[in-house]
Amino acid sequence: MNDWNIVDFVTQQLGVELTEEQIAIINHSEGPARVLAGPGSGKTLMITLFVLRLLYRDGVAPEAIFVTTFTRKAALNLEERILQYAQHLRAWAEDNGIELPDPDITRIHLGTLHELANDILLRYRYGPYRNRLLMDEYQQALFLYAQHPYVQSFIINNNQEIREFWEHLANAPWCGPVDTRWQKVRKLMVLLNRMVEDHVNIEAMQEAGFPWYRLARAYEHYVEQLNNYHRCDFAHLQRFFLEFLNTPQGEEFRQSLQWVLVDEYQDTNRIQERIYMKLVEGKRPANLVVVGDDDQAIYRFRGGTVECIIRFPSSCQHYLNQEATTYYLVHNFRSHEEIVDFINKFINSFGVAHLPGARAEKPEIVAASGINQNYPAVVRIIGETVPETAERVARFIHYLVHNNIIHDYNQCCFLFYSTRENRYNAGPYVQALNQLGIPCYNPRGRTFLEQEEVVIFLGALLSLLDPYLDNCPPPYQQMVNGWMQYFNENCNNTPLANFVHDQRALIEETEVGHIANILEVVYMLLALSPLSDFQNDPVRRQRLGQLTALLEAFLTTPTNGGQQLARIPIENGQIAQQWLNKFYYMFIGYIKNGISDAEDENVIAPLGMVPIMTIHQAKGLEFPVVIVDSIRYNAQPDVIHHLEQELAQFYDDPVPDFEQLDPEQKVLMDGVRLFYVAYSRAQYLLVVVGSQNQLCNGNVAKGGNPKFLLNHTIEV
Amino acid sequence: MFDELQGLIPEPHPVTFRPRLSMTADILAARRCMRQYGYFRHERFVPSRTTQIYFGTIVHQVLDMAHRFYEETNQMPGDHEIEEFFNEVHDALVARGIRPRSRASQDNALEVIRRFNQLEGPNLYPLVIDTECHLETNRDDYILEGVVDVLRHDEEGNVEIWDYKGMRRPPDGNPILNDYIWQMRVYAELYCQKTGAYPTRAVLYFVNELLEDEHFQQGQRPPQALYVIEFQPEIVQAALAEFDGTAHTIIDRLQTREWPEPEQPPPQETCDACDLRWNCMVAQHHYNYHIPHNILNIDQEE
Repeated sequence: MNDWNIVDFVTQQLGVELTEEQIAIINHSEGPARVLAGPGSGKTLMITLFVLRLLYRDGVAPEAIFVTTFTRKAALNLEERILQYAQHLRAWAEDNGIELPDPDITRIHLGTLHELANDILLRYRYGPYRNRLLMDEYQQALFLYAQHPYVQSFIINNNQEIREFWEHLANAPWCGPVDTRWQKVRKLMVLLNRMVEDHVNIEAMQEAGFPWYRLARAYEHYVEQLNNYHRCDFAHLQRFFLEFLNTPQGEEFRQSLQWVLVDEYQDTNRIQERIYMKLVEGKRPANLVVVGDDDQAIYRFRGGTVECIIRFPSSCQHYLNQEATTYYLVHNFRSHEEIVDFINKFINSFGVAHLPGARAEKPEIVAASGINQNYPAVVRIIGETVPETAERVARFIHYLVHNNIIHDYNQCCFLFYSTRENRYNAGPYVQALNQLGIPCYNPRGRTFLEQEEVVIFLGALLSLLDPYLDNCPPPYQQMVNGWMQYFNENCNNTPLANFVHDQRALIEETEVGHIANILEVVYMLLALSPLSDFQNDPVRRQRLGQLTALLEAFLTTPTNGGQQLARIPIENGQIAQQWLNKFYYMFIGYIKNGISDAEDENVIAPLGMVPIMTIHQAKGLEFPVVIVDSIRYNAQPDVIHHLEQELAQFYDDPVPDFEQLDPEQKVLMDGVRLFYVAYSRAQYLLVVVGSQNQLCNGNVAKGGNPKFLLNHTIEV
Repeated sequence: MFDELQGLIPEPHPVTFRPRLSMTADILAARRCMRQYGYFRHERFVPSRTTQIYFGTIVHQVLDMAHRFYEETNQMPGDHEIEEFFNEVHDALVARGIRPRSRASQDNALEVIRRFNQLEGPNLYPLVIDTECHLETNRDDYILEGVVDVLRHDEEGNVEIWDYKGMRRPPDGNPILNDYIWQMRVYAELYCQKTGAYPTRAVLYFVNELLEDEHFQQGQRPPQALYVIEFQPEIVQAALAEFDGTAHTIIDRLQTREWPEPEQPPPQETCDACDLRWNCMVAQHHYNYHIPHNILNIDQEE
């Protein structure tokens, strides 16, 4: 091995002066380590350089490196960074007469944990995982709806214990309604996923008496059905992977690894913690490096458990019997020093942030971006009313562009808790921007079902299947009627309407028959104007694509009778009622409750438009100007926080948890973290906006004391 | 108020990263038909019929299991084992909603695999080095991935690539066959980058040729089943360059989100099975007059 240092390469070739803390991390030689990296502290750079050191200086084989990121996009970004820097490194080495190995970087195990687990299980052809359909959230919900005995009314009515189980849940103050079948499905899904992700001991739950053993039974039913129908959900994928690691093949895989690196460790969950520990368990040294920031943990609602990063040293002690080194990245290279000062003060202004167990112990972040010019970098726009505020904000954005402070609208990002275009969220702001002729990019601003192409598609489909709504259950009638009306009024005499009309006539002439494959018919509808015209717009086209995916998932959901839903029986000139019932209750019932507004990884900020996104979507991003709304946000305990506490008694977790916050404190701390993330996205200018009224109602965004926001921002 | 902020913020710069492109799911699919590829790979559309993937999937999976069986037990799998593997995969596929076009198609799949196992197994299995072998390489602006069905030794101990195709052999000069040949050349390059040497040759095995009784009953391989490709470095490089061209088109299209109809119509089987055929200008001579269509008559399974 050559005697050269990665730090020299960075200084000489990239012209970057690394801080002492960064140098220490890049040179971390062995054993478990935790890097607590504040916002904008260059953690992707650190991971990149660390990987380069392993590959080029230490000669570690790419296949021996296992790197996980939180999203697919982050993985692609990281891979790109590594490839680019490797090129620079080779050029530098050549200039300096240094010989380097020639590893194939594409062979690093690099991706999200789910993605890598799936790949590895398939490559090793792990028996229990073979040929399973990996279900997304929607498919899982439909599967539970169609299959799980706990949600079927005739079973509930005939089984006192299941009935009592639901009554018990309904009475829990945190649960929310579980009256309808869909409400039960959604609740059950949260419970079952959480049980897997929290690595709950099912046997202990079995023995815990009512209602717990009922929940354990529900879980067993579900697992049995997953096996019968060759399916898997995302939570169980992790479970399969953990089980695989305990097999001889898994051992072989473990032995092939030398380094495990985990990014965004603050959003990891308990079963993932187990997986990471298992990957390096028994090795001396156990090379596990986790990077993250507990202050930026915002995914509890999806199973993230910020406690994993806080207690990392004790977990290493327990599983690996090794001491973990903790490094800190406290220099912020992103933001104006006033912004850095503001976010430090923001988090500290909350009493809850000082309780034991609320945060990992670490130094405050320090401004190091060199942006320190004398202008107000943290400002507020607080109007009397929301529309007035919105108008002022729009004028401010106009000012920024027309004074060449920003070069493009896309350098100014709007962050909301929810980007829905109603009067509580993004609505007034989008309106105000439009009035000034400022385009904005908010692909998820309207609910899926409000989009014109979606309404016309559903109107056409319903006009074909049940035009007089003879079989439409009352709860859906108004909505479905609205679609059909819109379709009838706006598509009259179009090729689409004529086709639907002709085909309906055929159905009505048919005494006994069937439509062989309704999805095929759907594509005929999509080929006709106006649905075909909508496909010229990429955003609308994707929504229509998503509709085919939703329908396909419904049509391939296994039913108890075993019939294929794609094939629709016709009886006496009508679509068979039994089929229509399934269509209404399962498909329409699901989409009625909202297509998941989950963060879209591919959210982009096209040139010429103001991007509008949720705080969750903005994770990992930065913008010159960031405008944060949602000061009305009020942290309220929800199911997850209580559930965590309830399930804690069954954690199959030998590592003692440190003192945990109670649910109310946790929920407030989660809210604080959310806005900490929002505020720390800004590079040059942070703008906090809202109305007087919202300022009074919210309990998070405005800081931990009533005067915080007023004292630490400047009115513009 | 913001005088000092003026001129501070640099121009926006787009963030790009190189995509990973799969040989079959991206490159070959896009070469067949850019429109079909864009819709189903990038725009969330889901095809209405899964019968196309049934045959190829079951053939590949059962043969992979047969290879593994030999590797683990050192014994040839018999008809009985093949049937067991077949049923296992079939049940799983059906449970996932992937069905054969018809009972006959299912029987054919089993028969093809059985015949392959009898005819090729005894010579092939002992020489297999690896199955479902993942290869990938960094091209300047994308990463190319491919999966080789079988890496095996030949009788002299050299390495060969085998790739199973769940179809009859297309006539010489057919664009699909040509693309498969180019595919093997690119795999040769990927293999060379991984190991430092080219494989001796690649073999395309068109398994459906085994359904022809005449040769099989005499214990012979139908001559049409194999297509052998030798490698010359210049031709391999030309294949790579050609695939680079397709990859660049894909990368551009990902930006513009436009998926035009191909200039040359794809083979008719491609269009026959394509959900976009109803208003496709390239395929219009075949399909557009089917609209308005009697939806009650669409039943491929009877």
